Amino acid sequence: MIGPKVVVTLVLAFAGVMASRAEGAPERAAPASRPPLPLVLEFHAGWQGPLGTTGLALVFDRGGRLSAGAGLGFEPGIPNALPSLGLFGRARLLRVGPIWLGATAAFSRVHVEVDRQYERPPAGAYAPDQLHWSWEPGYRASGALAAELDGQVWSLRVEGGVGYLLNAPRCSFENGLNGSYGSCDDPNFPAAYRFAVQPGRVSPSVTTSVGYRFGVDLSPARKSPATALGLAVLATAVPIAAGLMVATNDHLSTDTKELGWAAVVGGIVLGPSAGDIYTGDYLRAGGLAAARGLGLGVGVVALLASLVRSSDCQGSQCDQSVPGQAFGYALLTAVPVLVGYEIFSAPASARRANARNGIAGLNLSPTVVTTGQSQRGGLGLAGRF
Amino acid sequence: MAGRGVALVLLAVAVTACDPAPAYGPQVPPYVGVTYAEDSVVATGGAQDLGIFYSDDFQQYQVALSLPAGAYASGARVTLRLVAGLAFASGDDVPLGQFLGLARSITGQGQTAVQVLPATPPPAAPLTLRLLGYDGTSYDVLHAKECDAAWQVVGTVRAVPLGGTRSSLSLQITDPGLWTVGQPGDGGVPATATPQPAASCPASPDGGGQ
Repeated sequence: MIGPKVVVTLVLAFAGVMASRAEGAPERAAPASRPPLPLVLEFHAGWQGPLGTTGLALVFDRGGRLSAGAGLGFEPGIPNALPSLGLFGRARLLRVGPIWLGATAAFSRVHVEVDRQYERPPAGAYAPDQLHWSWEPGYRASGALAAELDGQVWSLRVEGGVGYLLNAPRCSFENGLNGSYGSCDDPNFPAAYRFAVQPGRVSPSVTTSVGYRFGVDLSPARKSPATALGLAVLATAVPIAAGLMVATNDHLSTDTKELGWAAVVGGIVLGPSAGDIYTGDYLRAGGLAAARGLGLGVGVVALLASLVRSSDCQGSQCDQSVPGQAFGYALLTAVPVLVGYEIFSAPASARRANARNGIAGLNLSPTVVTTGQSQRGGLGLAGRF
Repeated sequence: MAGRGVALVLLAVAVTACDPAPAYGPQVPPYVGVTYAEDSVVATGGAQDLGIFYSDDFQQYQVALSLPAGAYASGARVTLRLVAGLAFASGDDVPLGQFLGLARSITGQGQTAVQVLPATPPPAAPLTLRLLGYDGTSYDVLHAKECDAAWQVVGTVRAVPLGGTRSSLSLQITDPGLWTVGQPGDGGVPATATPQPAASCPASPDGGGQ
């Protein structure tokens, strides 16, 4: 069995090699204005990721093929959870259009709690067995494949992979009569549940991270319509998909499921604005996000207020408000319309930004032209396109 | 291609290892009520012991069954169960559960008993059932087959104080089936009481079977 120390050593060595290789790695086609500061701050969110449900990471990334970083994460679904700590190394392997495909190796200290209920056959013959495994802390090695959309300042990364907890868990069992709490080798812990690989020890993960690169020269640059569209689509679809996976997983706690629903709402309200943020149209991004948020919130409230009546209502008190329902449905219908509108208008937003920057780059200046003995005054028009 | 292979391997490992299925021991019918604890051994022909251990907030409890040499033929599987939820027509007296210190969540579901299997053949020599509990008084010993309609009072047993609040009951049992204890002098349980029959019992005209 590979111990945690061996894995830590390997991951540190991997991260070190990546960091040193990153120094000498050939630069991608990056703007000349990219500063020497090779640090990216990332916000992580996802399902069973190496840093937990949410986290922050600092990445040493010169924009080459290799990078490495460290992160701190949290598990809001576990009361008094240990914060997650992680080290990771990344490789950019293949470029497909604006997206890099690559791989990540990580080692992290996490806090994992897993509950299961088993009913021994035949049905109804045995009291249900409640099982609980906990890694507090757990030392986890993870591998993942990644897709990364890397802008000058902002980046979006989606990873899917598998984590394996290297150390043994604490085991608990209870069936109303008997119980054991602690060692998986306790004689009272049923042999049927002494799994070689306990539930939760191997965990598939889907995570997304948004990165901010420090110190980039923010002078106007050409905005890619495809990148704007891709950002809007991914920032909407990924939180919704990941959130639904979490919210509909019956093995997860209620708190964790609520986080999943929060991710879905976040994807609907904020996701489509990623394209406009990329193009620098912050007013439009904020306005449409606010419109979606208001539409969703007010729509739900209006619908509930017009449909739900007290169980002891009498007479006209029980009447449901038809105008209220119509108002609520109209607002809720407007939300997906606004989502689609902002996503599919993201390329146009990029073109507007380019046009805007081009006009801003025009200079009108007085000019004196000398030809032989004569001099003529005039105006010169210069610009960057 | 290598990346795709790695991804498939990772996916396969994740899917198969996330939720392993428990491997239970063999099913030994008949089943009655709800089994809360069970132990079984394969008879060797020599003396053997089976035991059910459990604990409450204060101390460890034990239900133990001793098999004398030759009680069962070699290779026979002998099973000891602590079962609850045996439904009776009337009465809320559950002295075995009280004696053993079982939680109300268990005793409140119905009568509690110890089940000894296999149902056939009976042991060639009496088995010793030992119960560790709280109350140092006498009890009627009650026995029933899984498909019987009523308990039979087959004797009396006196609890032996072990010091403190602990006591011990020791029963000599000659038949498999359900064993429990009742309060002395009142027939243990109401005469109309009937244990919940096992699913494998033949249906009776009064609807006592399934």
